[in-house]
Amino acid sequence: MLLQILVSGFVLGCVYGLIALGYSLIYKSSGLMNFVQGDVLTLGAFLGYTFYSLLGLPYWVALILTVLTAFVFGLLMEKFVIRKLLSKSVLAIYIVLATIAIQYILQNAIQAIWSTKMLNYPQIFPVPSVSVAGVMVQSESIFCIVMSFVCMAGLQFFMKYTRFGTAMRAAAMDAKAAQACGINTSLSTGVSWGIAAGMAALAGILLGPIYGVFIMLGSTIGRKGFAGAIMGGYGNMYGAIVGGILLGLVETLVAGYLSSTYKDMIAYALLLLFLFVKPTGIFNERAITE
Amino acid sequence: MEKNKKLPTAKIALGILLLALPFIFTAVGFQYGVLVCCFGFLYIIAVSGLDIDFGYCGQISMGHAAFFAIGAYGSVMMHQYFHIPILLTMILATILAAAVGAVIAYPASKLVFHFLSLATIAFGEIIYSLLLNSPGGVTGNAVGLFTDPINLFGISLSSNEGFYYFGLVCTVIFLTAKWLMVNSKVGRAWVAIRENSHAAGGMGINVTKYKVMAFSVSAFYTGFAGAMYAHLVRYIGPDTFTQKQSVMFVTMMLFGGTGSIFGPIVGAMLVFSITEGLRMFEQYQMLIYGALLLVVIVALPGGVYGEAKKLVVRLMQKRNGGEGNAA
Amino acid sequence: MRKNGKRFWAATMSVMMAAALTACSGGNTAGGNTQAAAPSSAAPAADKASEAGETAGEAAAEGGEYIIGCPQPLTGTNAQPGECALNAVKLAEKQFNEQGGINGKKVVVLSYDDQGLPEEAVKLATRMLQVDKCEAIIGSCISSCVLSSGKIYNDAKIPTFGTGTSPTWMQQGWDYVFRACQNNDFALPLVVNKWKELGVKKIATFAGQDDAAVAGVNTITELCKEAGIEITTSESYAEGNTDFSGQVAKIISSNPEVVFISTFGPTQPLIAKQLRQFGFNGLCFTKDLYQVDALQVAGAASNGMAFAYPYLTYSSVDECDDPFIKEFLSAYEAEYGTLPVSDCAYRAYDSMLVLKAAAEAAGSTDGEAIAQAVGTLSNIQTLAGAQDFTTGDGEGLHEFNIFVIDDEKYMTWDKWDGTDGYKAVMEASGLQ
Repeated sequence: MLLQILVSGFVLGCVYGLIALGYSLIYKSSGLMNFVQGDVLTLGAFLGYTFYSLLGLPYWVALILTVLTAFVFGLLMEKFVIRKLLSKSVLAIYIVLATIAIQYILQNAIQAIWSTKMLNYPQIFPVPSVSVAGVMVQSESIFCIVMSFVCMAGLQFFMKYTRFGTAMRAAAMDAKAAQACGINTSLSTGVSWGIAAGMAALAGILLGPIYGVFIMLGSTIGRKGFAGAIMGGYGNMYGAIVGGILLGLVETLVAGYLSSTYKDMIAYALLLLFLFVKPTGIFNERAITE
Repeated sequence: MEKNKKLPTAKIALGILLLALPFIFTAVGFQYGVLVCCFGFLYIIAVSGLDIDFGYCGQISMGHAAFFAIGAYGSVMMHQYFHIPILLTMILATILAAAVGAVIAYPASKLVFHFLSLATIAFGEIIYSLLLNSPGGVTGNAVGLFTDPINLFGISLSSNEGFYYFGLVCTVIFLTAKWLMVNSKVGRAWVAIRENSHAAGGMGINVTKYKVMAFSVSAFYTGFAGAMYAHLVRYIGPDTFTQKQSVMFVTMMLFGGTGSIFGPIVGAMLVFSITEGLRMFEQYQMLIYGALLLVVIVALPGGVYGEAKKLVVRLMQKRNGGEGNAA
Repeated sequence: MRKNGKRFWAATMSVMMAAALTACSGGNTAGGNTQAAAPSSAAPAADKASEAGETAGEAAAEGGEYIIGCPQPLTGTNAQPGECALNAVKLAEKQFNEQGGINGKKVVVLSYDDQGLPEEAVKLATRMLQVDKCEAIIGSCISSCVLSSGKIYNDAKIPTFGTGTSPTWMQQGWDYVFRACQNNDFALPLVVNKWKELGVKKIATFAGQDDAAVAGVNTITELCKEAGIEITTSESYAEGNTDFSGQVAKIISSNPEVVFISTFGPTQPLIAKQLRQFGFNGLCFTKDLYQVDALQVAGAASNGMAFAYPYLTYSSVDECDDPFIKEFLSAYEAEYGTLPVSDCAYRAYDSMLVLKAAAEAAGSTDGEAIAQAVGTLSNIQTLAGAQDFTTGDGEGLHEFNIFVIDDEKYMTWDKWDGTDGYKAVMEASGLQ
């Protein structure tokens, strides 16, 4: 039983981690907070359903199209809403509220476009499940784990070793100074919002075959992803995945051995504990500025 | 507000209008308006409280539904289990909410914006989860609890009209208290902390103390609004006290504009009118609400009342020959 | 038609707002510019809103109309059952009017989105009674909404039919609140009797944290205590969660013969899939109908899921062999282009049928007369079969069937009994 719980906690944690990566990326590159991730995940699942199941495109094509669409969505959101608010130098809370408004729009637009029915994907892999250390795991879950680690490594490399990544970090630290150095801060934040949205949509198309496709798919996962990002160290790419996995393990272990009734409560209490005692998270991320 | 001081007649007219409103609504066959006003009053109190915390002291809270819940459940449970008269339970529950607010505010006072908002969200979720799964089922868990109307020294406020006047009096008291507070030494300390907490600390202001105070006072306001809610609806269930409710408070506050007496009033009234106006759209109601919200945020980032005030100031400056572009 | 109109306006307004947003792009240079944009987009909104509300208020005064209010959750978590219920009520409205209305009065249905929030339910109740002058209500499928607003309807003597299956809101002693669909408390004894018959000794429960789910599990727990069936573990989950591996692992390690699942729609396939994936292939009972969309999502994992219920949902009209339900489904499909996935459509349609029968029996549309008449109704033909309200508890439905899923298809338990699928599930449950 323990092994089974550990394996599935790990799978769940990787999903949280994929969402957490988006939060951390946005925070690292622009110091902002975004509440839309969970609903972009839902959007990704519905887009994936449309491309793969309705239009009958090959899975890889559907996946790339979904991620690209979400990337453009993130980019546009930054350009037409976030950037506009930033240029008016409003209080940060207005940006948070704007993302909440987008959340309402997205949730209800998805409902208007795709109906309230629960939809499903056909199987993606020929083998439905694989045995990991004697525990049966759905093939899509394995794929999900692989993708979250690929994203983590890719982002870390991108942020640290590419010119564009360096520019993004510079823009986050001091937008004015970065601009003076000739960095296009508008572009760099735009791209980071796009990547974050792309990753959320990726999580969505990966989860579709596991959980089915419905309007509220991403709402809770989106919130838990936040908790994962904080626990790992807000702004740290390794931290996002590690924090996500930690949360996933804690949740499944609590449900398995303590009390499933208080599972969510304990998860949020853990988040509070981190915030009050060690807000820099496991990876001691120092991106936090006053 | 300065204008109002010069025009006491306007104040008196407003007072008479507010007193006569239920009769006007009844006369035009729109009694439903009375109920909307009753909800309006309690939201004005709750949002004014949140504004003390955020608008004056600069601490965000995305979990005020928790204090709304403590006020509501506290009052209902004390009345049900200990048979304390309702007005007293409302006050006791409100004090409880303020106390819980202080306890949570102490460690939270160190957190900066984003982290504070997440901490308050987590706190809200924990309280929500407790309501659903209370030990021994004292909160009625998923089913919730029924309760009685407010009993004011033998007069039962079971009608919406009765509650209207009670709500009106409470709103006036709470807004006056807010006005006195923010114009006192305490209020100035809050503003100093909001503008620059390091500088405020340097000036000898005990930052933690004042932050905790602001949070606790705002929990007091929201808690009282929660108690009002419970005895207006006379049924409470966990569904009311979710994250959605906290977001509603924040939305109303920002819609009106922060750091003022009138901002929360304008915000609560506007959001109420919008939701009533959009009802006809049924399943598209929330879609349009979201779009409208986004437009207002982007177009008027200071809130409706805040931007209107700015505009008036600018127009006055222009008329006085001052440089209008400076603002 | 009206629905399409609304969709159109909603779309137009959203586009207009987006346009206003882009119009504001250069707007931070002059304050006045941005100020103008918002009101200009808000003002038409108000106009359209009043236009769209054509049927409200003033129409009531003309007489000859019977106004029925229908608050349902149309957005958020419970949008699916809410939408299905509303569609069915509108279909009934159309059909009744084609047949000459109720007692010669034209039926007008007014619908609102209660968002599943008790506060909205209270506001809507007051609004529908005082502004719209509704004379009957087909209530929300969310019990907390019925619980918060039921007293208002009852005090105003407005006949109200709730569409949820939780026992709680019928226990408040409201004389004007009725139910024309399943009360889980009536159906679950059937389930426990079946367990006794099968010789079940140990069960585990898995429940959501909403009213109906908790009530379902409480009833089962009590019934099991009486029947001497041991409950090995009682697990729960919070709404919105999609991963239950901890709970499932605990359930399986407690080694039950049967798992009782008390959840709402979208969770059903998730728990079914996870139970099967972790190796539990035995018999499961769900609190109410295991929906047809859940069946499609979970596929083979749905096999061995059973429930006691009056009716089923279908993926095509042809699958249905009950002529009355078939007729309803054909009409529904013709109207909306799709079949209802949630049985809330059946519940709401039945409520309309019973309301009509009561109004005709009373010979008037007066609330008091209708409420009296409901108590005398028996043998009313509905989708759920014959309903009988003469028991005096305000409930119409007292008989249910046990259905089961085998080979990804619904069938009755009696038909399933003894088949290969039956034997396989029973063996996996350790019941043979």
